[in-house]
Amino acid sequence: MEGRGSFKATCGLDNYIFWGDLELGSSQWAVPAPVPDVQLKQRFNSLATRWKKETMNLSFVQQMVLHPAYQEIIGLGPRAVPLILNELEKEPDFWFWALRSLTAEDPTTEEMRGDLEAMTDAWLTWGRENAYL
Amino acid sequence: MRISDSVQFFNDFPRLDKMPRLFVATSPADVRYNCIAWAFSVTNQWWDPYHVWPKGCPRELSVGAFVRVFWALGYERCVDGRREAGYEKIALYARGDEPTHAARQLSSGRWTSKLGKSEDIEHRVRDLEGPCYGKVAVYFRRWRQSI
Repeated sequence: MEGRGSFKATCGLDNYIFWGDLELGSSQWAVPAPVPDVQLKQRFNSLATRWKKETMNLSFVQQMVLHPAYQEIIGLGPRAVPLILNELEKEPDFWFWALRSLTAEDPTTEEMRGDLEAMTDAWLTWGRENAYL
Repeated sequence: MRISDSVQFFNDFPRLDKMPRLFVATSPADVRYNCIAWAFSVTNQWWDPYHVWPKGCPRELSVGAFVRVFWALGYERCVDGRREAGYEKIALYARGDEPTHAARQLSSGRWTSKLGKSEDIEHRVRDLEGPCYGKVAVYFRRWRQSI
């Protein structure tokens, strides 16, 4: 307990932390820095490999992100963020759409659009600043 | 192994799966540019409605929007992909109304394509038709400024 009337609890598969203050009647949800488990990592790797292979000849990002494997990666939720950033660190690719969906952030600027290396650098910097890398 | 030797490649482009090969890979895979960029000889940007796109052109994945882009860059529609002296041609592929790819004609009359995040190849224009890119929807031409 952190003080009179306050509480902190961890629940759910994603280890979400729920905390609040009984006296003030306030409560909040937060996600701790995600620690991917082995199963999640295997699932992510399998989906990422399939996505890369089956979209390698597609010309437009709008088509790549509609691939079922990419959509499933987004469906993994916020725990996929560090895995995506690790993948991006290994090899630039169009993970930006998924990262935006999962984090509600966008560290890229209008001027960076179309410059894959600049967009990658912006997201990796964001990842380091937010302790994902 | 080159990507253009992979099973996935020939699944996407079954017309290229012939011996002797009627296409040739002309660059390694490069994720920094795509077919539209390559159609305009750009090799460091990804051109699509969400990334680099000419000002004032609709940011949508439709044949009509792409026609506007080519007009904005000085191209006009033309009848076919036959070589015409003095003109540079581009073929726009589509599945239905959704553009899928663009190829640029070389002075030899053959065509050059950047395949997604993959390699550049030199090929015949109809050989990329199939499950991945659909069919050629529109041919464009522009006076070749460099001659």
